Amino acid sequence: MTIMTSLHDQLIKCFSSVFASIKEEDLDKLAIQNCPAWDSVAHITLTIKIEDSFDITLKAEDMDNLTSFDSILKYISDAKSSIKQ
Amino acid sequence: MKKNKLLLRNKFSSRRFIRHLFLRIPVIGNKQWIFSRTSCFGNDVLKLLQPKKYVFNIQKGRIDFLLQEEFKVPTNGDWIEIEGSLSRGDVFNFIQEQHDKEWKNFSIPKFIFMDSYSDITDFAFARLSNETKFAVNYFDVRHDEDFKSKFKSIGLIPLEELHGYYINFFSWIRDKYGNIPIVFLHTPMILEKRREYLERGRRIRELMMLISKQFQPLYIFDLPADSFHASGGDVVKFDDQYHFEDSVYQYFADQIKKQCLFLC
Repeated sequence: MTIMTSLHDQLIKCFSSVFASIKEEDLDKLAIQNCPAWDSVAHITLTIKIEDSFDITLKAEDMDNLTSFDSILKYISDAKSSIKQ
Repeated sequence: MKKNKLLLRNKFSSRRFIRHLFLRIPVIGNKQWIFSRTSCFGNDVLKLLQPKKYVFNIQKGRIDFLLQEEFKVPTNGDWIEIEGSLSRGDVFNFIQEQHDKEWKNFSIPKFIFMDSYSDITDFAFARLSNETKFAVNYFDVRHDEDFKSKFKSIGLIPLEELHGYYINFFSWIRDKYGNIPIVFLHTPMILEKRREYLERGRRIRELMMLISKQFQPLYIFDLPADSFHASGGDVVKFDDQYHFEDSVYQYFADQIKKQCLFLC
């Protein structure tokens, strides 16, 4: 299993706990624009889940880049690589 | 059709803005009043105190916005764009308050009443075409392509700048109003779990402790870290982190009544 796959699966778990009504296979296609359930409360809950699960801080200044599964996955991947360096 | 819609909105916004200005100014005159910068939390505490004075509140008056004279006053066109970008209509009034500087010409307020919520959570946005600014919660605006083509996010107040803004604001209060009491409530963070916001709350606590002696009489109130968790942690009244059970508001009101006799 690659690191990216592992992060992907871990992130799916975070998303599934917040967006429980959405099928698991659809979760990695989610974006704030195509998901009415992704409101402020869902975003805050998701932020907390991700911070706890990955032990990183999601910075408010990066909020504009944290509005889809893909962009969040990339953000986590970058954050993890910068920690290793 | 689009033009008619715009004209209608324009008229509506203008009327609302004019009403906003004219309703506020004559109310104050030379009467005693309280300047407040409080969120729902501070508003509810103040209600319990029943101060029987006119309260002039700038709910989303971030500390870096309060004294900004150079902020560009929004044109009618700006107001229309701002109002159209909101996901919550009720915050439009809060944005108007940010640009209303008339309160600086009022008589000396009885006291200043503040909480820390806006400085912890409110984002600033600027119109791309002319840098008109406003501050609201990140999710109070619609982050769609239309919004992004007209506005940019400036973010929260940078942590390293908070100290300077607080010093400036309290110095201005002392220069203009002398030694009037300032009541400052730390917004409870007991339900907040996001790391960055927790850090912001911590930093404001630290800086208020640092500067409190410099700006007496300054009364600071905070929720003891474990007192409400100990009672089962059942303090969530609404579905967010900054609305609490009545006992939390009552705690603050009781503490303030004990220490701030000027409220009577």
